[in-house]
Amino acid sequence: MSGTSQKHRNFVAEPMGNKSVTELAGIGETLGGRLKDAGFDMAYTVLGQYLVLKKDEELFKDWMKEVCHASSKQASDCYNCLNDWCEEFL
Amino acid sequence: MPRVAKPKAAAPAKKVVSAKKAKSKLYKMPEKVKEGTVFTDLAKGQWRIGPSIGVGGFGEIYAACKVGEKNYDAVVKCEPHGNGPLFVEMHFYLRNAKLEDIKQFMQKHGLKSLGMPYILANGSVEVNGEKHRFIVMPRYGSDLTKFLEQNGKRLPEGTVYRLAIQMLDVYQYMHSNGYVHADLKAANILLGLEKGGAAQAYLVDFGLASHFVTGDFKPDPKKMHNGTIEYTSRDAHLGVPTRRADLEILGYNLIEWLGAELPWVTQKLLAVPPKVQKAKEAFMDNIGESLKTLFPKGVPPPIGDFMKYVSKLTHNQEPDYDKCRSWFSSALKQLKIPNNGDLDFKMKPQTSSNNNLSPPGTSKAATARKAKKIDSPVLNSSLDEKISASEDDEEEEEKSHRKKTAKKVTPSARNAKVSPLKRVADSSPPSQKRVKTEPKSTPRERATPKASPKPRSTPKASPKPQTPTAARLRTPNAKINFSPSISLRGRPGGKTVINDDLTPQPRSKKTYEFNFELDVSMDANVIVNVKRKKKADQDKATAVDSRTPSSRSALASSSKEEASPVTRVNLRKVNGHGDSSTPGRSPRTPAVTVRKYQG
Repeated sequence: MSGTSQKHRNFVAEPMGNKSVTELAGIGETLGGRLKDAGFDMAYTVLGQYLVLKKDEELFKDWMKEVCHASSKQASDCYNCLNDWCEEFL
Repeated sequence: MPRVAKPKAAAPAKKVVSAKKAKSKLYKMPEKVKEGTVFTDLAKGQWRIGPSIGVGGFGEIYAACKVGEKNYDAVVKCEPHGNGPLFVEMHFYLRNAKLEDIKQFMQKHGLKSLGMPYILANGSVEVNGEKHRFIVMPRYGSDLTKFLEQNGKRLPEGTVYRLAIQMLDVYQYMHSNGYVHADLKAANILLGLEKGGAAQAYLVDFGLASHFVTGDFKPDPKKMHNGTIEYTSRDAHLGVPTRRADLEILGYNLIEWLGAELPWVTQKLLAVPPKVQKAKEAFMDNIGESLKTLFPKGVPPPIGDFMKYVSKLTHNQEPDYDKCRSWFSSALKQLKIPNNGDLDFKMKPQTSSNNNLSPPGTSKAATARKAKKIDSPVLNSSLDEKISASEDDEEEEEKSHRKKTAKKVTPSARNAKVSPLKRVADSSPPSQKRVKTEPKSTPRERATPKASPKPRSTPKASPKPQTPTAARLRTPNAKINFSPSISLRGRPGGKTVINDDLTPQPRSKKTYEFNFELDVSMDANVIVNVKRKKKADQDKATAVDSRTPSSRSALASSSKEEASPVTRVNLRKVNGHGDSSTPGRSPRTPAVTVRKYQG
C-alpha cells in the first residue's frame, strides 16, 4: 500500500455525520452522481451497504462496480476508506 | 449515548473512590508505551511519546510532541480499543471541541480564554499486539487537587468564585453543543501551562459527557449513579443527564472548596450510592437550611443564591449562565479580587471564608507558633490584611458557637487576652506601648486592654511565665503587634498566633478582617478590644469579653459616633473538627476571629 490519499484521511479522521457520498475516497463527481441516482446520496448509506454485505471486500467491490461502474481502484479505495473508518469509529 | 455495553454496566462503580480496585478489572489497563515511541494519527501526523505524566482512571497519559519538536507540549491519552470512556471522550472532542468552534464561542461571548480543551489528533496504534486508541491534546498544568491538599482541603474564596465563573463558561459552551460534562471535580480541572496560563482553569475528562435530555425525565437504571459519587447530581443518580445536574455538581464542588464537608461525606455514605442519593435529595430539598448548617458562620451569598437557583431549575430548562456568573463576580468585587491574572491558590487565612470546620493554614500557624516561642513575648508580624465585605449574619454565627461550645470537653485552664485594636484610616500618632511593624500613617491601632482576663481555673498554666519581658505589662502577657492594626496580648500560658500573611493595603472606610489563632485552652477567656480612631485622639474603644466556655461569640457594640461606621466585632472559636478527640488537629488551636464591620 502506498499510503492513503488526503481525501481518505479526511474522511477517516472524524465521524461521518451527514457527509455526502462524494467525500468517500475513490468517489468523485461521476461516481457520486451515479450513486445518488441509485439512491445512495449520503456516505452513511454507502456505509450501510458495506455493513449489509458484512464488510466483505469482494462483495462490496462487486457491488460498487455494479451500481456505479466503479473501477477496481475506485472500489478498493472506497472499501479501504469505509474499512478504516469502521476500525476507528464502529 | 455512545457508551458501549460493558462500560455502561461498569459505570456506577467506576469512579467511586472506594471501588478503585474493582475498576481496573472492569477496564483493561493499557500496555505501557515506551518513551520515544512514535504514534501516527489518522491524519498521518506523527507524535513522539514522552514520559508518562499520570495514570487516569483507565489509561495512561503521556507527554508528547510532534515529531521533530522537543517541547512536549501535548499529551497523549492511550487506552485499549475496547474501553468506552476514551471513545466517548474522543467523540465528544471531535464533535464539539474543534479549535475554531471554541474560538468562535469565545468571540461571541467576549471571552479572552475558555477552559475548554481541544483535540489535536486521534488515532489507533498497536502496542504489544493490542490495539489501542489514543487522542492527542494540548498539555495543561497541574490539577486543583494539589492546591486543595496544600491548603487543607480548601481554596481561597476569591479563587473559588473565579473558578466557578470559568467553569460556568465551559458549561455554557458544552451545553450550547448539546452536551453535559457530568463529572466536574478538582481532579478534572487543570491549569494552563503556557505563559499566563495559570489564569485559566481547564475542564478536562469528558469520559462521561453525554447529550442532555430535552424531553421527558426518564430515569435510566443502567446509568444510575454515574459520575464521581461525592459530587454527582441527583439527576445523575437517576441516570438522567441534565444541564441543571452539571450546575449542581459544580455547586457541590464549590461548597467543598470553600472548606465545608458535604454531609454525605461526613456521614461516610459514599460506598452506598442510594444512600448518597437520599442524602443529596434531602440536602437540596431544603437547600437554605442545609447550607446554613454547612456554613455555620454564614453562607457565602453567591453559593446560597447559586444553589437555590439550581434547586429550582427544571430538568430541561436552560440555566441562566449570566445570572449565575453575576453572583460570583459581584462576590469577587466585594472581595476586591480582580477577575483576571493568575488564579491565586495561596491560602490566606481569611475570616471571610465562612466555615469553621477546618482551621486555615495549620502548618503555617504551627511555624508561627514556633517562631513565637523563640522571640516571644513580642512578635512582630506584618499583618496582611484581608479586606472583604462579607455579609455574614451574626445570629447564625452565634448559633454555631453555641453548637460548638456544647461539644467542648475539657476546660484546660489557660487565658488569653486579646486586644486587637483598630483604627480606620486617618493618620493618628502611633501609640506608645507597642512595637510598630509598619510605621505607616495609615490605619493603625493600639492595644488597650480594657478588661483583664478572668482566669478560670487556671492554676496550671498561668504561673508559668514563658514571657518574661511581658512582665512589665499589667498582666504578664505575650504581646503581639502588627500593623495595620492589631495588637494581641496573650497570657503566658496561652500561645497566641497571628497568621501574619493577611495582607492587602489598608484603606480607609473599608472593612478589615483579621484572622489570628490563639493557642488557648478550650475555655479561655478572650477579650477583644476594638478601637477605632476617627480623628486623632478620639478613640472609640469597644471591649468584648467572651467568657467561655459556653459563649464564644461576642458582639462588641461600639459607642456610636454619628456618621461613622459601626464597629462590630465577632469573636469566634474555631475548633479542629469540633471533635476534640481528633488527634490530627490540635484542639488547642482555636481561631479567634475578630471582625470589624462598617455598617
